[in-house]
Amino acid sequence: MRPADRAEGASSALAELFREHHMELVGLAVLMVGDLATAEDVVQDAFEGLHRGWQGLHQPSSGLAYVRSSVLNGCRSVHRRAAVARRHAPRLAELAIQPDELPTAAERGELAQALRLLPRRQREVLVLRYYLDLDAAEIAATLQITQGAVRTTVARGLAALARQLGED
Amino acid sequence: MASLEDRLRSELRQIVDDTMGQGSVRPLRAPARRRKRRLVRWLAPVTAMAAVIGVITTATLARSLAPQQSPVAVTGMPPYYVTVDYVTVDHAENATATIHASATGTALSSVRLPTARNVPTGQLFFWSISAAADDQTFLIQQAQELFMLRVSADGRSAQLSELPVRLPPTADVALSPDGSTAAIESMSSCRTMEFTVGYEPACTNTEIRLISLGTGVTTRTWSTTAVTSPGAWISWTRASQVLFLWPGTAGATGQAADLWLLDVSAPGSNLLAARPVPMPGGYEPSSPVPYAFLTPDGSTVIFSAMTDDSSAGTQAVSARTGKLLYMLGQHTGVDPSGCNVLSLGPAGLHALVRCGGPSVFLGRVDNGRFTRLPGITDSYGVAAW
Repeated sequence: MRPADRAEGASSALAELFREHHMELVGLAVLMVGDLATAEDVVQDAFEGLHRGWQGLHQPSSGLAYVRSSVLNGCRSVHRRAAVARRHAPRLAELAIQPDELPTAAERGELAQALRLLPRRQREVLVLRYYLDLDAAEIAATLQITQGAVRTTVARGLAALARQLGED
Repeated sequence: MASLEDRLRSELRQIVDDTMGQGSVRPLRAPARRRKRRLVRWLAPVTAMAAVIGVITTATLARSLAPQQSPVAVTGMPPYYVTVDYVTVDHAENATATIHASATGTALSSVRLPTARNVPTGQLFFWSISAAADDQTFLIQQAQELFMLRVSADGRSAQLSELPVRLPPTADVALSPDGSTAAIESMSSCRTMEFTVGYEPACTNTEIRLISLGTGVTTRTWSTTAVTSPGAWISWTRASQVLFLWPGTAGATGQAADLWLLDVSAPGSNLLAARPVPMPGGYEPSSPVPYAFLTPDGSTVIFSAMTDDSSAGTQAVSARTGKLLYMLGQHTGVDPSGCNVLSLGPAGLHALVRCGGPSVFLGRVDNGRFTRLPGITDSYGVAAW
């Protein structure tokens, strides 16, 4: 295959991946970082990274796992710097300025709040399982852990959620 | 358990639908200039397909000037580096400090950090690490606690001791070159504020403190009530200077900058007296938080960034003019979108860099090359030498 054909094929595959999965990946990022603009930035970064790394993929079919993993890593980086602001949130009352009234996505429901209190790995696994409907193999590929660890983490995460919601 | 699973599915979808319903989802944009934060966030939306093609075209066509390599031969690499990486043990979040040989990455010894105390359930906390100039003394921050790690000369043993300092919820900590003092950048009164083009976190109380590590006593404080963006990064560049991050903040002269230099030997307590550090034209930090370091002589800023040709590398720019001086190394074979310098060797010629993408890893950048090193597997992992 000529280089030009390869490039065209890569563009086509990337465009298809984008068409089919962009929205769900933004949704995944929304659940992890809490706001749309940041989620869009994270997904943008992930697709740019995928484009640059496309030639290095062992198989084009692994592009989706690549971009999902990139989105989750991007969300963790956002957490790192956003935590500075969040840690000081209780002090807002001291300010004359009214705090922002837009609730974050994660503040919108009892169950979502309980999810937020879980250890990071459990939270990620549950979101991948119940928002993206991924199976154990897909979650394992995304998080680079074993399928056994995925199953254990799902079970423990659900149990922890049930405890927090008083349903155990 | 089935009902809980159904509720989880339903509520997660509802959250996403509600959030996305607040505004149309923005399509991808061409990458150039997109990291100027609040200035350009919404300036260039194009159709999704056109943008994908634009990304491809931009990256394919852009092959311009090859940056110069470092003019100085590789010398003075610290004998080892220390990583602090997130690990999960019995589903609890813990960290281990590991000493690695710099040349090979081989793990020489390790010390488990105690479980972080006083962290509310579910609250995020992070680690940071910085090194003194003696190559053997490291300051580790874990949530609101500080630890001193003293490493033996051969790197094969290390002693961890907790310091008599209780940090405020804080942005970052840096160790002075002589190992006696910590510079602490902290922010409070932070909230999401509406700017012209969207909502961004901002703080109205920013402070840098110097703390004696022997006594825990604060010896100097600089502060401001000006609106700043959370920076979460500081480094102690020389005995009398600290470099810190204030993304997009305007200083006393009204000049906006990301990186600021504070002379801690000068009198005064106004943080706005810090000097903005110019960055090169076309500067495009490869990550939203462009960690940077100053060389020991104070003349050169080292950071990782995208270059004008959409590649990435660790660059050296003049701290006075912002002009690109040389490249420590290109990040060849590495997704360039998410690399950050974590630590700079004392000679200023060797950088430890953490890169993101589908997986997170550490590398050494020197002599024009990027060399992958073990020790970090998680976005929360940190390293210093």
